[in-house]
Amino acid sequence: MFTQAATCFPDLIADNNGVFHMSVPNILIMRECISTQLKTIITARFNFVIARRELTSCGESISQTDPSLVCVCDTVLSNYFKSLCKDLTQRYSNDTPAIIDLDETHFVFAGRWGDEKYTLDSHFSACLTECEELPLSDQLAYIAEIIDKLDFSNIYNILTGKVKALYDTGLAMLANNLIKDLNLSYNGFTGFYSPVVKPRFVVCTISAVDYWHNRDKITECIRIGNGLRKVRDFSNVNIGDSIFEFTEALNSLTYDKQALESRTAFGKGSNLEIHCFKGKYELRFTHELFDAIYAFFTLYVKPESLPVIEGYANVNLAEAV
Amino acid sequence: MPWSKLDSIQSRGSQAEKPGSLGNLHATRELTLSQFFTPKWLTSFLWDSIKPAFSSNHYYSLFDNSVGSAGLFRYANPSQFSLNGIDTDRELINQVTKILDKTEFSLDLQCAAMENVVLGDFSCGIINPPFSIALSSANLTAYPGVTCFGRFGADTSASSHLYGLVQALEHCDIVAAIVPRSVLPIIEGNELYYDRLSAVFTLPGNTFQAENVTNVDTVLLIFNSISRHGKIIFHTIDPQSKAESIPGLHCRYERALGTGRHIQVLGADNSKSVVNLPPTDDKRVIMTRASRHIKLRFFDGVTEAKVFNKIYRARLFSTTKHRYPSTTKYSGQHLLNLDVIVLQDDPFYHLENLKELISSVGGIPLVMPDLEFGLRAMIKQHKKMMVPFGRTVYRKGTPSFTAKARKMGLLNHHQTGAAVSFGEQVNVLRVSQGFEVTCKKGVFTCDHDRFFGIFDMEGEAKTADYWEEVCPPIKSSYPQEISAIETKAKSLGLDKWLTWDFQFNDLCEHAFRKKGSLCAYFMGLGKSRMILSLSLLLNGYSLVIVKSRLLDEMQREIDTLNIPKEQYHFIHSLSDLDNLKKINIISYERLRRPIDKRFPKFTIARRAKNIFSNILADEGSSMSSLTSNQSREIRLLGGKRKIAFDGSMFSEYARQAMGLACWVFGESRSYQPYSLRGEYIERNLINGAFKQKTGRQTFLDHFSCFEWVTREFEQTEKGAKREVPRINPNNLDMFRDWISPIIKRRVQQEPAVKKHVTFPIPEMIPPMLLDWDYDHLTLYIKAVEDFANWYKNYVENQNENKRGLSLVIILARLEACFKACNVPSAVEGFASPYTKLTSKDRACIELVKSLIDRGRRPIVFARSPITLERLSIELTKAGISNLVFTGKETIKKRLARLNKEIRNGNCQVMLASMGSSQDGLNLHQMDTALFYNRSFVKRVEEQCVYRIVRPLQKSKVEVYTLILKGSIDLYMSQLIGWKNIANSAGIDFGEQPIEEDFAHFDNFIHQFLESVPALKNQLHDSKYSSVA
Repeated sequence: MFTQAATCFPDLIADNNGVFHMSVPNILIMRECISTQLKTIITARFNFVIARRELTSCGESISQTDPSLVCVCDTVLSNYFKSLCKDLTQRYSNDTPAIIDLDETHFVFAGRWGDEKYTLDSHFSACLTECEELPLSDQLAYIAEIIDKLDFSNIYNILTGKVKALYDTGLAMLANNLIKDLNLSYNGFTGFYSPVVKPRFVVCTISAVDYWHNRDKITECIRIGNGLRKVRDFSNVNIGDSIFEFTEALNSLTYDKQALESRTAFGKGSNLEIHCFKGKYELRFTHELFDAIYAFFTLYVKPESLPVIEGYANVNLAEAV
Repeated sequence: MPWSKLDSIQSRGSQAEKPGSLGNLHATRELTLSQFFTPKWLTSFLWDSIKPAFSSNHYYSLFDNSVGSAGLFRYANPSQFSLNGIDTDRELINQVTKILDKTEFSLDLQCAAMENVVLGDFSCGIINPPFSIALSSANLTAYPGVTCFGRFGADTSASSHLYGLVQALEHCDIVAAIVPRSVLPIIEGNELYYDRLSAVFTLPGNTFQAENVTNVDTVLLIFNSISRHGKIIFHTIDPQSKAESIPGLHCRYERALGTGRHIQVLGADNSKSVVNLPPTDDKRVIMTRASRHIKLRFFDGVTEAKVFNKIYRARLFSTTKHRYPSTTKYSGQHLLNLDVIVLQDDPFYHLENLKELISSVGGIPLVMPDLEFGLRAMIKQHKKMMVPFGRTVYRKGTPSFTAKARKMGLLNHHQTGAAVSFGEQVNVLRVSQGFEVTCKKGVFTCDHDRFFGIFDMEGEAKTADYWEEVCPPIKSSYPQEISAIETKAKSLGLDKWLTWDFQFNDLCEHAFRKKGSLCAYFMGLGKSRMILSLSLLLNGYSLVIVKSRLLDEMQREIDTLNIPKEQYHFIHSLSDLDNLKKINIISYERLRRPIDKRFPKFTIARRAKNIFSNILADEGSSMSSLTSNQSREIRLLGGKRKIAFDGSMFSEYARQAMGLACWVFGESRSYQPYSLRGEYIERNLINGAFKQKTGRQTFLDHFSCFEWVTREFEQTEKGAKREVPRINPNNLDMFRDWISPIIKRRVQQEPAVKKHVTFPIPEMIPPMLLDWDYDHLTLYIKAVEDFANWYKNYVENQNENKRGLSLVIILARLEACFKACNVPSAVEGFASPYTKLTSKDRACIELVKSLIDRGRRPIVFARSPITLERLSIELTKAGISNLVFTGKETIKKRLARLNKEIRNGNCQVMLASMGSSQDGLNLHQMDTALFYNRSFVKRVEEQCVYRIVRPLQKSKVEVYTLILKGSIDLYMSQLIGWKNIANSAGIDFGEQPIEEDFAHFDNFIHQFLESVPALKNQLHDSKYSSVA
């Protein structure tokens, strides 16, 4: 079914649940949505200005200044596209850390700090400012012009491209994060944290932390867990619960128990054993699991970033370095 | 005086960094050897204390068992004292010896550890032994209270300072010892030593400050040779203290010591000289060949010493960390090993190198023709022995196909980018090393097992298969030699015997191998004919060894081939050895039987040593056992050429191949580098033998797999690793390359065989799982519980006494469970026998009846003759004719009945015990095998099935198995399921499953014991269902 749909509607992409969607709303839909929202906000702004002036004339002092027409338009556009990007990311990232975002220059009228290079059309934004005193109907008439300023075709193409590449980008991010978090990126420079290949395991070493500094380590462990989950999904190699138990243990450090006791082990007997020592934590991967991890790296990381591990592969270290 | 020079030597302890933590203490001790020199003031005090014991008119011997820089000897003078000592620091000893050699001292300083010496007696021992080093050696002298149980057994472990002190006390009259204070209670506990203790001087904590030791609690103990006079002197001393006289100190002078001083280092014999030639001007070095080594002949002793020193370079010693083969003594000795030279790319270049080496030390090398020709012959032999036998193997799929990755995986470890993603479709091409995979990332190689672990074949490749010739016949490499053999064989008429062309070709290939080979013909392909043909073809007398129950079968074969009587005879007694024929046939049992009961070791095998040129062993897989009487006796036979014949050459573990290969191909050869007791030969030995391993260890490292039996043992880390019947997957190709010149394999389904004969593929019907009878199950549960209790106590007892579990004992006890399941009428001891027919008996009878109704002729295999007899009675009652074939009758009788009733008769059913019907019998008249029970040995079952899978078999062969639910039979099934794997992977190029857990015997016992609750549930259900 997927193949068929992909042929007839090339922009159809299945989301995480396998349901087909038009990946990015088409141009008409986008225009329609934005138009509706602009109408609402311009009307609301107009009413706000009227109300504020009436209150002021009654003696009530209102500290707030009138929101400018340009700003409210920008707010609508910004919210719309950010929300769209967020929605697309949620639907198509598939548990990867990749996100879809759209450069503001595609839809912002008012530049930051008045800098021209951030604005879509600074002249038009000046026009809009002048329209602020016009009646509501005249202001509403500008909606079509506002919408015409946006290059929807370009935006659509950009978003579609990003959606298609999102998953692979996310996998690459997971792989690169794993390399970094497991200290595999030293590539031939031996040191305390260099990976070691043993007959039963490949041992990766990460730094130990205490209660005062465990936040970053927990984040690191969560990242490792996310990466390993993907490896498990692709390779069917069981990763066990050790990384999750370990993260949980780090999270439960307290003032009274500030560090994990040396020789604590998580996941003994599984494909990933985590052993805690005073100055380090050792992640011991069985060769079966490490092969799967390395295959993951090979597939999703650039060749020049592939880790070179002495004793693991028959690679000439000197050449590799 | 030399002491100023010696004083400049620094101890290891003084130079080492402080350990910093307990964790580093051991490492620091290993580095420093606890070597800390004694300060001068203490030495002076010590000497002043013991000086009165020495008379100026006599000569005394001093001893120190950790001599270091010999600082403790500094107040000795050469006219009065000889210096004797040992130290483990070779460098230091050499340095000290060099310095002291220039003095007039009589010296005996040796590099040895105190635990590895045998000592004479000395006048005085002045010692400062290393503290707290754990000594572990089989050579330790037992000293009660000091030595204790160690790695090597009782009294093989001790603490260094204690052992050093007691050693000195045992061998020296007077002993002055600087030891930790903690030694005192031990001395007090020993009356003999305590009586000799004359003085205890407490030393300041900073005594060894100069050695970087800030605080250590030590004492100086002075022992007399006899019981002390009066009380022990206790004093605390410091550098300013003056020594006081110790009353009654006495020691013997050297002449009075009798056998006197000597230090013998265990393992090295320094008493004989190695170079005995006198020095002459004849510097010639004759290089000749002595078997597989280069022998050097000298005429000048100096040249001999120089040449050997240059070639050998350094002496090698085994340590606790590395054990050298027993024949490896020197690092450079393999320069004289012709097998190692043959392995080099240019052997003659290395011979030239050797000549230059000899010339460089002044020798004049002369290479004799026998060495040159011998080397050429060995190179030729190596090439001939290395060419593999022709081989066709079964392959799944097609030569090229598409496949889909069912998971993400690495294709190999040696190519960058060699990975496939989940679901990726790839193109695959079969290559010699496995497969060539074209995927998105490129083209990569992938070995066989890894490939099938990642990919699923697609399309027709899923169900297709083909046979591939992995090695061409030897004739393609050596056409002339094979043709010559063919001509000879034809002239003997052997082509009329071996009418299937593959048999004749294989005959010539076996004859081509000068040393021997393994003939792994599957059942029914003509092994017996091959044996007889080879016996006639090969030069010299041939000895054919068969199992006694197959002697008649061999006679039948001889009669079929019309071999004249003058060409063969059967050896029944010693006298038959005086009248040998071309083919001499003997049984294994007779070969190893003693000729005279008075002399149990004098067997026919010993008498027949080196009489026969060719030894042909039928069912030769028994040679894979290294320790059985049978294989020992057969190895005694000698023989130039040895050939073993067996369909299941090594059915279980990879290491079984080593025994066979060593027997037929020799050991430590260029073409067969492994060995049972010797070294492992490889080309790098030409550079030095450093870290050379034994042949057996290398074989295990290369090919054996040791794993945690199951995950549960892995977690508890109890039970240790076990060998699994799998060849190390990283070296599977290496194993195949190694064995392919040794073994000639033929299977029934390969094209060359199928051209001439079709063997039916036996249909393995899924096992029939049967319900228990209530009373039978009750009895069985009792047996299992009884075993479980016994096993638990046995394991605890063995663990307490630090002994291993004996499989023999466990199997013997397990027999009760087996009996309770399959022969309940024979149960005794823990319960009354169950005499009724069991549900298995009834199911067996019903199955036999249904098979007969279908027109089939089944054989029922069972282990116990009692079972077969019971079944026979019931079948006879049902009017079914049957023959019971067990070891209860003599071979002749039962074979006569077999011929009469089965082969030439119409008996409907054969009831055969597994033991008596394993091998050699042709029973194509029967067409169904019914296993009443399983066997622990996969080979036994295989052999039983293949009695009926013969060339003359016309019917479809079916194999049935009966298993009682949850019984021991079920677990036995799992156990033998794995054992087929190593054999098929190694020699049949099959696959090894990577991910399954091996159901090792330990696991089998564990699961078997865990089955009791489930059985009790069954009993409970059975009770209530019968009530209902």
